[in-house]
Order: sequence, then C-alpha cells, then structure tokens
Amino acid sequence: MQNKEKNSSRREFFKKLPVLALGTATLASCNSKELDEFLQQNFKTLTKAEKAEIVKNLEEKYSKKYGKKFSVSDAPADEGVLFGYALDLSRCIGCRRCVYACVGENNQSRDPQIHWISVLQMEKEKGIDFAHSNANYNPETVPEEGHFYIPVACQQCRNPQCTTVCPTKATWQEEDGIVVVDYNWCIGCRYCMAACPYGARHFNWGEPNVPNDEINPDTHYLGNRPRPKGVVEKCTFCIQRVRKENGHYPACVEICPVGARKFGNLLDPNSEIRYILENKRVLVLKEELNTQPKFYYFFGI
Amino acid sequence: MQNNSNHRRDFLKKLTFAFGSFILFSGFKFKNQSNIETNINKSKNDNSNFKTISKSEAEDLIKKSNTEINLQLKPEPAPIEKHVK
Repeated sequence: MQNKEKNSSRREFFKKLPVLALGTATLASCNSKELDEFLQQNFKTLTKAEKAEIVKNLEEKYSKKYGKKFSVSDAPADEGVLFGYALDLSRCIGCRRCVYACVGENNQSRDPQIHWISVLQMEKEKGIDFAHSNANYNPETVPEEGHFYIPVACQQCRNPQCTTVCPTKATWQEEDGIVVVDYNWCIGCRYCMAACPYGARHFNWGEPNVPNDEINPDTHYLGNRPRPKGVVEKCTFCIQRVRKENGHYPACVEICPVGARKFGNLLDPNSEIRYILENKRVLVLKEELNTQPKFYYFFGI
Repeated sequence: MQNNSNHRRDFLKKLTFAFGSFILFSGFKFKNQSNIETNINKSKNDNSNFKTISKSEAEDLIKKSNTEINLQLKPEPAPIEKHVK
C-alpha cells in the first residue's frame, strides 16, 4: 500500500518535471533586461532613477531594432500648464494632411493601419450626424459642395471615462491634462475603448508595422515610442513635442494648410486658445455625457 | 474562564489598534483626495467663462456658412475600410 503511494508520488513528480523544465528554460532564455521589463512597475510609481534606467534600456533596444539613434524622453508635465485644442470648422477643408502628419510623427502602424485622427465628412443639410458620416470619402478635390468636415481624435477629457475603467491603471490623466497610456502595463482588455464615446482609442490587433526608414526616433515613453502588439494607443497631443523645453506644436497643428487648428495653454490668459474660448462660442462633442473635453470646435466666421 | 477573559482583552487591544490604523489610513486617503479635487477645480475655474453652443445652433451655423477657404486640394488617401463580418 505504502509502495503504491510512493509510486504515485513519483509519477506525479515526473509529470510536473516537463513543466518545471519548460519554465526554467523560458526564464533562462530571457536576458536580464527583458526580465526587468517584464517585472517593471507602473510608470507613475517609478522613481526618477528607475525611469532613467528604463528609458536608457528602451533607447538601446529601439536603436538596435531600427538601426537609428533613438531618444526616449520621460519629460514630466510642466507646472502651470493645461493643454487645450481648438479647431475651426469653418476653415477645415478635409484634406487629411493632419491624419498623415500624425501617422508619421507618432509611429502609427501602416499595415495594419492605425489612424489616431479620423476626418468625418458630413452633409450640411443633415447637420452633425455621426451615424451617417463618411470617413472614407475620396473625391478629386476637397472641400466638396454641400459638405463639411469634422476631424475627431482624442478629446483629452477633463473627466475621462477611459481612465476610470482601466483595471490595471495603465492609463491616466497627467497634470497638464494629457491622457496617456503606459504600454508596458496595458493588458489589452479594451475596456477603455468601450468607455470612450469618441472612438479615439485604437487597438494593435497585429504587430505594428512601421518601415525602418519612416520611423520617428524622437519619442516619449508615454507617447510615440514603438508599441507592441496587443496594447491600446491614442492621441497624446504629440507629448514628445509639446513637452520639449521650447515647446513645439503638435504635428497636426503645424501641417494644417488652412490654419484651422489652434493649440495652447488654457491656464495662460494670453494664449491663442484662451482668446478663442473667451471670444468665440465653442462646440464640444457629446457635451451631454459630461466628459468635459479640452478639444473645442469653433466657427471662425 | 481566565483564558476567555485573556482572549477578550487581546481582542479589545487589537480592536483599538485596528481602529487607530483605520483613522490614520482614512485620513491619508482624504488628504490625497482633496489634492486631486483641488487640481480638477483649478482647471475647471480657469476657463469656466467660455460659452458653448448647442448641436442645433452649430448645425444652423454650418448650414448658413460657406467655407471661408477657397483652396481646393487633393485629399490624402482615405483610410482602408474595415469590413465587419
């Protein structure tokens, strides 16, 4: 009887042995940097030194992968800054220059295609009707008679629902109002996508594909650094540009051929964005949801 | 009997400790919450003087207005349509 029990426990041991061996082999195949990355804490909880170490490792990793010198910034939000965005609907001609400037600047996947900005064409007669809007319009020239265009990206809400539903706290609102994602903590559950009423979040269903010669090596940890498969990404007001010392405009603002896009600090009484808010009447999308966007549409006329 | 009263004493001792910790930690939480609230209120008050228009007002403006720009451009390629199966 005792012998039988012994035999059984030996059998159990041999059954578990392959699993144990496989686990050991997996751990052994990981180098220490990969292991560190896997065990990394949430970005918000890291110390300055830990952040610097992570950023350095990422720079090395990306430089090796893409054959270019990469810079990964971890620049925090500046004090006294709250970013806001305004778009002049009477000027937008729907040319989609902003879409592709954003794709290039923020290393968005070309195939499978991800666009953080979506330009919606609507009929003037029907008014603002998202259900019947067309994002795939393709005429010879724009603007078309009887149509207007509403570009939609992340509205950088003051009361963002996407951050409250995240089970791992991988997405949050920074002090300067930018809603960011820690790609190392995102588990790809897509709850945030369901919670966002603007369809501003995008999921990497496949391995993101950006050609080596088109990759932008000037990146931010919480912004345009290369993303892995299975994480959610979104517009960050070009965090890698706007948090630079001299302050750059987001790529979409710079590229707009008609100057329909305005960007600035809502806390600065002399900023262009404050002028617009104080002197124009603005439209915020889905105001009834109380998400309180910091993305305002206005009519310059 | 003695054993029972010891248990009770231990329990009451721990209860005081638990109660003290509860107050300490809840105070800490309140402190953080008030900080967050202040930040949100600050950002709300700083541009609370803007006026929004309703969707119908915006639609009226759209119907009445002509695009200010006379520029005609070839649009960049449309996004690839995603077909839902």
